[in-house]
Amino acid sequence: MGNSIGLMFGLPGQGMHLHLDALSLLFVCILLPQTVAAALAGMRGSFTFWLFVLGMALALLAGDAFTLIFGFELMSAASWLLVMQGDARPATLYAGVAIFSGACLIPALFLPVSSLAFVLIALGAGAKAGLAPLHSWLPRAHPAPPAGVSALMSGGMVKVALYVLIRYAFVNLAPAAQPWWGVALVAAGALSVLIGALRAVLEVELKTVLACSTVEHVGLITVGLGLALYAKATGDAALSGLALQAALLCAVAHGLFKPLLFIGAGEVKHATGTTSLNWLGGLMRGMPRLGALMLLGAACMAALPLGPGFAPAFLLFHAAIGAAATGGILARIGFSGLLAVLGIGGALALAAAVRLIGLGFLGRPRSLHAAAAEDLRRGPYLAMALLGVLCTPVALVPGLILELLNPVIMLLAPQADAPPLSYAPLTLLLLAGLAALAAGFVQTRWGTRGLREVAAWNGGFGRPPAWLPFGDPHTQASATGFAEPVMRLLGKGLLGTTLADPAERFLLLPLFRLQTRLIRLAERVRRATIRERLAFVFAVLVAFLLALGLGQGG
Amino acid sequence: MLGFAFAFIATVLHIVLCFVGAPLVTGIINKLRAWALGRRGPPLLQPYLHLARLLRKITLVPDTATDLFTFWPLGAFLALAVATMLIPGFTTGMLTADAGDYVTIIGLFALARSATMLGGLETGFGFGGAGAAREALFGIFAEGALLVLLLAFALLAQTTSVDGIATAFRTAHIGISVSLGFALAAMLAVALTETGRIPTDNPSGHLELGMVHEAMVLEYSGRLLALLDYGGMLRLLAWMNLIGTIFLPFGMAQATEIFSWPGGLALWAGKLLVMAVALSIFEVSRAKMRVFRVPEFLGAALLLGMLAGVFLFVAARIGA
Amino acid sequence: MSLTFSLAHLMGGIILLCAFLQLSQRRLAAMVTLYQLEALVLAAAAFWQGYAQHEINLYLTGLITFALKAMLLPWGLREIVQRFNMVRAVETALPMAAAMILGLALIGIAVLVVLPVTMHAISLTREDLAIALSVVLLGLLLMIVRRNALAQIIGFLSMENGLVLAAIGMPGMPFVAEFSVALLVLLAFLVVGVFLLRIREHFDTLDISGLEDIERRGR
Repeated sequence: MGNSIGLMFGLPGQGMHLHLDALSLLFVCILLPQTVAAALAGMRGSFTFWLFVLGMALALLAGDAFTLIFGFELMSAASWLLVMQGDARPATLYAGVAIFSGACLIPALFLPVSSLAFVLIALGAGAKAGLAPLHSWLPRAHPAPPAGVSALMSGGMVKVALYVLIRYAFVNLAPAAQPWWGVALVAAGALSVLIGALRAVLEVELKTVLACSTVEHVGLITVGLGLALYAKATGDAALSGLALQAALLCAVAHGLFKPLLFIGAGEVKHATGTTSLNWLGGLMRGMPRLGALMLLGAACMAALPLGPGFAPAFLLFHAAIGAAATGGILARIGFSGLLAVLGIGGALALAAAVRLIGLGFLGRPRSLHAAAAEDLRRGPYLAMALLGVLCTPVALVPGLILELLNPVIMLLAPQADAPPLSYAPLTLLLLAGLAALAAGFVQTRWGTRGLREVAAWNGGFGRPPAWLPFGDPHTQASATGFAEPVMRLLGKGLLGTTLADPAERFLLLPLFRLQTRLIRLAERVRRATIRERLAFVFAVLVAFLLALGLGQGG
Repeated sequence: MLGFAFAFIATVLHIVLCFVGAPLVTGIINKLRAWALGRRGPPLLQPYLHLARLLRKITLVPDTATDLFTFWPLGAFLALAVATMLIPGFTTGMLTADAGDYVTIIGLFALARSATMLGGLETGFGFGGAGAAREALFGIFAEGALLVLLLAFALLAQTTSVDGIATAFRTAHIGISVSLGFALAAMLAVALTETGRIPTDNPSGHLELGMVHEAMVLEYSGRLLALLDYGGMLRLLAWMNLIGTIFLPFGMAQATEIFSWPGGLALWAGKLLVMAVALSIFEVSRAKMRVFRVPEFLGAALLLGMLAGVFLFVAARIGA
Repeated sequence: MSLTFSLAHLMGGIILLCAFLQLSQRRLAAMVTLYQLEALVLAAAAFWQGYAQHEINLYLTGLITFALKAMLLPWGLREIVQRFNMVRAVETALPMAAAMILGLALIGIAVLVVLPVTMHAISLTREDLAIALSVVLLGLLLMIVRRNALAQIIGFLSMENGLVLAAIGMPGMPFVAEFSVALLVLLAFLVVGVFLLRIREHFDTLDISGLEDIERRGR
């Protein structure tokens, strides 16, 4: 599969080249279903949307650096327009990040094969993928546009950025690969996992929760990639295979369930007029189909067994253990820490998913809009059902999917050799079926049938008054309240009381201050007297002469 | 062929014994607890009677619950049932051994936990919500600790399936290792939290503000409560099996050798009894800790797990 | 691995565990109990090493450790806790979690330091040394992260236990017993000194004349 085609237009004298190999094909396959779903969910009339898709496709299929950059920037520009249509405030931040990533990527593509090129690629692609510490724009920008675009941004655009990272780190820059490249990626990924999962538990807006979860999954994929890069550089065949399997399978699964969840969030917005978990509740009653599909998506997000999210997490844990088993004492301590972070991140993601379903779809409605919600429209329903059906093979026969991923792994790390997957969802399903049969038998043989609907016991509290049809909303846990214990024990320590992302505190604020300071400096220079300017020139001259004299004396 | 047949019979025997015996284990612990407190205690078979009574009762559904109300207990039960089937008890080499990876088992426990949490949020009242929020908090540290512990086991046993770990610890001469001591302490802390025993939660507690697990199942009744309660008994047995298999693997039978079964069965019963005694004595001698102290407790477990991994490194270079 | 090694390691591990868990305790009584357990295991370790190395000195060390550190000192500390009504949780200078993570880092550092230095030593010594150094560092950390003077004393005592552990693990350390006795005398002085200090502090603050002064000014 090494097909290249030249196109008629492009740079004068060179043209544009498209190139399809296993890696491009995999990412095109990830992109395809979500594009169809987003189009079904109501974006097919938008020209900018198709421009966005075209940009992503070009970046994935690029055969030369110019085409890659062209597609990448087209994608950024189109998505910027789409974000702007939704909400102008994050659009500026988004544009800034896009320019930063372009400014890192363009020189990197033309640099010789070196560590500097890798650092620039990692910065550029990482900023676009929402990798910590350059992630703080993502939870702001991704929820802004309409649901279909959010879906494609979280599921597709992030993958394109990761594709660029994979393409360069594993293929184009492979001759200069160093173990520390992998370690750097692992560190950034672990940070993303922790911050993304923690913020997913604490945020109140449904779409922001999903965007934070995207940060977490990007972190998981990057940890896998970093482990693979580390293993490839140190020559550990089994580990690099395992880690690559984890990263790619995670990308596949995330590309399916995250668009599903985003489209569902859009439908929630359409039906109730809000996506704040503090105003939702009980949607399962009015929107059973949406509820069932969202439950599926949330189960994937939480990486529960029998869902498509579990196999990648399983592989990733094994890869981390494999990495900790080799190497020196520092590697041992570091990778044990990584395991702890992955475990904590996994449990946080579980809490976030439970919170999303439990507060949004179960319980009592917290507003009249939530109580009066009507079920899915046809287009989004088809879109979500398509993605949900595609989740099934990833969930139940991950071994088969891994077989399909094999050519990609061979392309990325030719010597990789992963052990067979020891997670067997079908066996688990069989055992669960047996247990269910036994329970059913006991129930029919000795049990009493039937259900009776009564007022909730609620520890003996009385019924609510008649003017509160669903009871007092304040007597059920709110989204903020549910997250309070986590907030108290982890949130305050890691994010501070204001819940501002640490990246904003440590990256954006200093930038802002720097800007103010530069402006002040410029103002001072402008206002300087002739004498001061002369003194400056004189001082520079003296310093120069001094340097010259010292240099010659030495 | 004969080996396969024996393995099959051993698997079935294990499953049947676990499923039938789980309430008995709970009954024994309750009895021992009562004795330790100087009371007479309920009959040993009380949990069976409790379940039978719940089965016969009509199941009530709160009017604020959605259609999935009946689904969560079943989900929790099925996850715990599968976990029980996967964790070896009296023998190694069962047919389910290959599927019983440690990570899978952690995942199944997480699945059961999330189903219970959703059941708590289902009716939309304060107690269930508070219980679920606390359970989520405990789960965060417990899962981190469990994964870190796996590192120590995997390094010692060169495998990550529970069956393989048991076989390796039984046959290869590991000796008394500092790392395993740390790992045991950490594992016990996590097990106590996960099974809702005393330092973190009170299994017989009925004070709503202090409850975690009981608060989540507050609205359940009849056969759904029976499923949840039975699931809790299975979880306790599964954790005892897990600890027994990893830390006390001596004397476990071989599934393919039928003559090793009686000894394995007897030792298994003995180990369970010892653990039950230890648990009940520990429970009556400790007070329940504040909810916000539990993460510290589990955080210490996590760090002990990391210590186990680090000290393994010191020992690994010794070549012993 | 022979039984000698295994048991010695296990006891070292328990001592380290106690030292680590002291960091996670808020109450003085629990810290004293952990210290007592630590001292008991240390005494057992000394006896075991004495048996293994055929050293009478070590039996003596074990006996002293048992009588003084595992019995007398905890008793005294408990008295102080009771007398000054310090039953409740004591103040910490650092959050618990931070202290424990720091403790873990210190243990990592101890292992890092000991490993290359003792590359050629026999295995028993290596692991024991790593544990002992960790216990010493943890004791120091305990002294830093607690504001209460008594908790600091416990940290110091725990640190001293680490030193003794290192000493008994070394074959051919003849003066272990004398060494430990000397240290103990020092410790006893320290404890009594702080004890007296606390009393004076309390008398200062409980002085009635101060109250009278305030009362007079109020009129």
